[in-house]
Amino acid sequence: MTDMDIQTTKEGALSITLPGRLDAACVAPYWSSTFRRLRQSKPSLLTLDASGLETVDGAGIAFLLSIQRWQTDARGRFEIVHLDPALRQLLQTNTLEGLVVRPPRKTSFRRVAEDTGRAGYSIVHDIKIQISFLGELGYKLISSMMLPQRIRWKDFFLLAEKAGADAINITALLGFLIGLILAFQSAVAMGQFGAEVYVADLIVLSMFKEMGPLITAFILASRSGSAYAAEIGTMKVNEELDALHTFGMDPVRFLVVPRVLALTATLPLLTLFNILAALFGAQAVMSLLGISPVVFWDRCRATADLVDLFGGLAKTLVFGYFIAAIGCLRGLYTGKGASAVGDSATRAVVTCIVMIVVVDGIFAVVYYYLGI
Amino acid sequence: MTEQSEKIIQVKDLTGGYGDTVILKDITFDVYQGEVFIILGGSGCGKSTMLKFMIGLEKPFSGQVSIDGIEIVNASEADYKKALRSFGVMYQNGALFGSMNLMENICLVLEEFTNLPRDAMESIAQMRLNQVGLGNAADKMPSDLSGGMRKRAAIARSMALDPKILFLDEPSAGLDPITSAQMDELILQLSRTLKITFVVVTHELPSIFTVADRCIMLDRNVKTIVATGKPHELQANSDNSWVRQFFNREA
Ligand SMILES: Nc1ncnc2c1ncn2[C@@H]1O[C@H](COP(=O)(O)OP(=O)(O)O)[C@@H](O)[C@H]1O
Ligand SMILES: [Mg+2]
Repeated sequence: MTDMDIQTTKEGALSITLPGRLDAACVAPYWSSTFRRLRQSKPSLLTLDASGLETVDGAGIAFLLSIQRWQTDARGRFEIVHLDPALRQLLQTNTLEGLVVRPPRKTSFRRVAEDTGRAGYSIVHDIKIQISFLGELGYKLISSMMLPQRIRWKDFFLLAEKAGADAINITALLGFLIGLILAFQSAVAMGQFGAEVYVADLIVLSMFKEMGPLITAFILASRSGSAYAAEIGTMKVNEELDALHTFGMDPVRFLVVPRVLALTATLPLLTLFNILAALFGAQAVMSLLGISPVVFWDRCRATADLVDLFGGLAKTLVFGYFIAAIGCLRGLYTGKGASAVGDSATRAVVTCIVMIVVVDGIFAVVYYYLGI
Repeated sequence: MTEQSEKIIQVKDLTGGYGDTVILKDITFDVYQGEVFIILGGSGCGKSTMLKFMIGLEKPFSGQVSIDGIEIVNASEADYKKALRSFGVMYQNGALFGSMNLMENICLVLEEFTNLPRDAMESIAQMRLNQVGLGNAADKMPSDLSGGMRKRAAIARSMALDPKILFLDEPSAGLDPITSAQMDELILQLSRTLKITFVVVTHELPSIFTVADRCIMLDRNVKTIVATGKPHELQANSDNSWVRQFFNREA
């Protein structure tokens, strides 16, 4: 079996004797050596001698076609001699037309710069979408409120049950455990000063103002925010949103408004459960440390302040609005393809969590100036 | 029938696509009242896209579409709402609302546009389901149905508001030959009895010859209409050899 041989025959002409086998198993080294030679010599006439060629597979044909294409692009002549008629036909039925020519590799600095720019642009674009969606939603929410009989109350109650009642267990459990942990941790520290009894103050303050609303919001973001993104995303992939549209039903009014109302209504209630469970958790630890429940609850009552409680609950109204809105937004903007719904759900949770923390920060500043 | 009746859909000089990619260009055709009009062409040539332009789900780059006398492309919201009442759409995979059974799927649409009492709506829904041969599946969920049943249920739902025009996207794709023939039968029957105008996207030859009054053929490479006419005429004497070949494939 012959091996490949490349020769310059006369001025500007190159002749390649093809090997006996050109298949996936052995074409790789030929590929690089041939193109290296082509780039060096830029022949005006390229002749392939196929007299020794016996076996060709897809890779071999692609090789031959690539050479042909390279030569055509370089405006040189190209010929194959002694080609078996069957192989000639095989070559003619295949073509590389439409092959995407890879742009030259960019230097790593340019790549990084370009990627950064692109990422920045897409973040800005994303924020723009979110802002305009939240605006649209706010408008439609208010106009729905004006005509309450147009709101889909049946959906609202089902959604509220799913997001609220079904989440009580997990919210209470998490609250209880957080209360337990917080109480234990702070009791250790405060015990050094014999001040265990003030653990109750700490728990009440932190749960009412920060921990309760945040933990509950996180739970709802990962339960309901992602669920909304997935539900609506699936509807989009299934063309159900298109169907709604051609029945003249606005997806925002039809799907988003009931969800936003459901989460805004349930999040404050869930937060109450969460806080209550945390107090019980803390009380359990206190009892173990020898502080009687009566003393503990008494301290709680002394510290507990309605302003703190309602300050915390007011935040959860806003959290609930954002979680539902972002979950639905991600669902409505689901792309195409099998993984799109999963991506939307993931992005919904991530965006929700970032949003919750940002909103919480804003509230902290506002409350500071209000003196709450 | 087509000669005397009036044009119910007019598409003129339409060019459009997604982003900067042109999918269809220079499309012009008319659909007459009462006919079964078929849009055919290979996968990915833009048939669904054409449908989306016609029903106003996507906006073309240029050109006009009018349905039942209403301009769709730059319609005001009120005009578009009015146009929506004149047609129904069956999407490629049915697009039934997955969380509701068939009865609720149809009632939902009626609820939105009428203020009939509940049992009137249910009777209408039941009648529509009977019309497509799904009379005893009213309480089935979409996920419990076979592909053919889902498509028929989608047709029933799209007929809920007595549309003049039905757009069907690949009604027989993915169905076995018998179910597919039943689908053709259903289209013919609805067209004869209810005088609905049909715009059907398909590439199934037998079904084209059975149901079509006229058809247009799109092509992916030239991105426009390569043939217009009655299927038998195109089979016999299209000036495009590729079109003749397509129509003679089964024969
Ligand atoms: N939403 C979309 N965004 C971008 N490209 C799309 C979109 N939908 C379809 N396309 C592209 O448009 C072309 C035509 O698609 P389509 O109209 O679905 O074809 P058909 O229904 O004839 O099979 C395809 O190349 C497809 O990839
Ligand atoms: Mg399609």
